[in-house]
Amino acid sequence: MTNSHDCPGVPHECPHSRSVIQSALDGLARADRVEQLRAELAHCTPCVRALDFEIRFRVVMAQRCREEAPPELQVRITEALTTVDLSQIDISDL
Amino acid sequence: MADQADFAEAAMPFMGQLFSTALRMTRNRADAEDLVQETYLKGYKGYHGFTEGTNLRAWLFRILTNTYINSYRKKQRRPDESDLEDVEELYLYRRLGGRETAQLGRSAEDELMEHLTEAEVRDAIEALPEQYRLAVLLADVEGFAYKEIAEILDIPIGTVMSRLHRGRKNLQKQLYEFGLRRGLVESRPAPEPTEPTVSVAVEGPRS
Repeated sequence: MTNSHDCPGVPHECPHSRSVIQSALDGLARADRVEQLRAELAHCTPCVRALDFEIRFRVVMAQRCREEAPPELQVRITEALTTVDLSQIDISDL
Repeated sequence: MADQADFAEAAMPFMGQLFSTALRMTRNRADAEDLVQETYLKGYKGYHGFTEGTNLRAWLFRILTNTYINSYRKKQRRPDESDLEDVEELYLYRRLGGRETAQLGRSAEDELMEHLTEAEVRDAIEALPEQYRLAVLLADVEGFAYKEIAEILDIPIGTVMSRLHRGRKNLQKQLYEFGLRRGLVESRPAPEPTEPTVSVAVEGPRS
């Protein structure tokens, strides 16, 4: 835990905000976890804003990047599971 | 040990996520469909080796990633191992964070994020060199934890974090440049690193 004396007031210069942001982006962000991390930076408004910005950026990325699979793909795969000769499938890299 | 008869029911709900990631990996719908099908066939054949109660989603993504790296990447003949230029910390935030636009109550980041198209975001992700792209897709689009990504890509967790860190910064730089070209953001340098930015919305000199 840092305090206002450790933080230069500039998020990218604050080692604590860097590790908090990295931690917030580890896995799916849960609201309670983000609140807890935000509280750790509460002494520094720019650091909290930087944290919120990075979380929001990630949400936007995920939303814009999602693509639906074509409906026929599931049919094709279900069929392949019953018809394809599995001895031809190499699973050495599993 | 998992029963092969249960595979389809357990694994099929993940098809959409696998396809979405496959598409960003291969950059091609036909290859993405083939890659997902191959993932399911391998998963089906090797399902007895999957430990029930562990993370099936991560297991399937590991098969997808390995299959892509071992066959599709070779087929596409993309060396794609170029390194990324070094980009400063919090690239977009430093340029946009806290700055207000002319419209009352609208921040520069609201403007940029709302107006970036799906095609621009996809192009920016697809332009990342492969090792960074895979890490960003798994972390930021699929929401895997760093530890899970380390297992999926079979690399140390420190490598995951450094690839993500660099990949994210470069992604932000590209999107900022899209924004500049489309006039969504104004060109201005980031504030000086040593400048205390307690007060926001300070306009820097134009470059």
